[in-house]
Amino acid sequence: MNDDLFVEMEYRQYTKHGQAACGDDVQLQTLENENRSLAVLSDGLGSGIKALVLANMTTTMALNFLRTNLDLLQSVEIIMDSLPVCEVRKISYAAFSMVDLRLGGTTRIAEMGNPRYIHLRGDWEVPDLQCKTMISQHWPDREVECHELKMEPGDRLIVCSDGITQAGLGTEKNEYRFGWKRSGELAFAQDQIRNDPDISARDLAGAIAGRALEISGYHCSDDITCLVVYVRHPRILRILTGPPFYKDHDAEFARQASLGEDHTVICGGTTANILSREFKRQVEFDLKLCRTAGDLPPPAVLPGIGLVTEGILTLTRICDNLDRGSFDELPLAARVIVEKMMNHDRIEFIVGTRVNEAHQDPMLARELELRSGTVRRIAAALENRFRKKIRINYY
Amino acid sequence: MTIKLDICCGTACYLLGAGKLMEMENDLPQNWRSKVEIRIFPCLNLCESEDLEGAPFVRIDEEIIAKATLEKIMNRIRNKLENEEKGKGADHD
Repeated sequence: MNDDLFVEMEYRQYTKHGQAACGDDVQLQTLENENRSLAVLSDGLGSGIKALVLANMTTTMALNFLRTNLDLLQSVEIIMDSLPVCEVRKISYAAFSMVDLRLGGTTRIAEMGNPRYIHLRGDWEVPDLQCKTMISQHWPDREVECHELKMEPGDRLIVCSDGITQAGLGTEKNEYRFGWKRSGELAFAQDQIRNDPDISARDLAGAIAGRALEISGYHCSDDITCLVVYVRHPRILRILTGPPFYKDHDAEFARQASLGEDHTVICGGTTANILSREFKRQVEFDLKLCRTAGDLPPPAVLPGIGLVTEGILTLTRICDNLDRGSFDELPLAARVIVEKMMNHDRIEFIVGTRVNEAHQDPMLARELELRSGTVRRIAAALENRFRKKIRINYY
Repeated sequence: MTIKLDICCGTACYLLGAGKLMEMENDLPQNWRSKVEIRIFPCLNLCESEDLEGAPFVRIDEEIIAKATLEKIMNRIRNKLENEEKGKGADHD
């Protein structure tokens, strides 16, 4: 993929009130070698588990067809032919939006039944100039809209299920009694971007879905899903962990901590001491955090340089939770690092390879893994599950 | 004069009990609190020293305490405060 650009794809969902599962589904894939990013959002007929099955069948098929460049109309026909027929409504149905984004090339979007996508350049909505409607002979009552557009650096695409545009529908004496509508969603997104021109896909999707939830009176009458795709220069997070093997590499190692306090994490006591010495600054702890830190040492700050945490215990906790995909009960230090990872696109690990002799104590050995193995596992999870770009350098 | 109590929260120290020591501010008697300043360090770099007994380490002013426990630390602070009181008493005589 173009090294200077990154495609951030994130979504946020809320489940219809009273249902155990969200009946919308999203699948995302980045094809690094082809400069392509694929996203599919499907809204299954009805709600709950049945809807999710329909939606998930749709996203799974659609993503595979996109990846293998199958003819669009043929893809849609296969999807429609394959979905089980609803006993109540006697139709097989799942609305969907398929996005095939090519950096430096033409981006194609195919939609059926979902609200029309929004393409924003800054806060300006780029008009849809090339739209054609296709109708399958198998399903003459269904129309598929195909759009072609160019995604420039800084552009965003917003794709959603009708739970967003119909939020508030039917509520009495309310300005949204006819629903939030696409125009309401668009104006809200434009406002968000005016307030924060660099707002991430994750935050924008969260804000839009959150506003739809609010308009519904926190009582969704339909599943809500908002997907945002954002083309931009990557935000880089650099994580320094472990002392360099050779002591005389300390200064060069420390120079890697040059991205600023918000974009640098220093994992490990000895590592923090090296940076503290090289930059002639003191690590600052907040004693109050000790009580809320959970079962890891509390995070601290090396002013102007980065966040400081303990090393291998913290990394191991992050690793286990990334593998499981749950972050709710992480201790404070691990949680702040994971939040930083999620808010950045490229994660660079600078790994010192000197072994801490004290960790070889048989009393501790069973608790402590080797640093480089843990970093590699974290990197794999970030790359495969969270579509982050990874670099690892060893010192 | 305040007593400086430095707690190491490096990996080895934390695993062997420093986590509890970091919260010891609440365990100090009320009348000691203004006299003891607790500071936390990412690592005091003492764990690799072969001369010392073992983690967790704390430093009370310049004195290092290995295998530190709440009891050991409290006793040492009490000693220091008592010596200081005695010193003051001697000054007045």
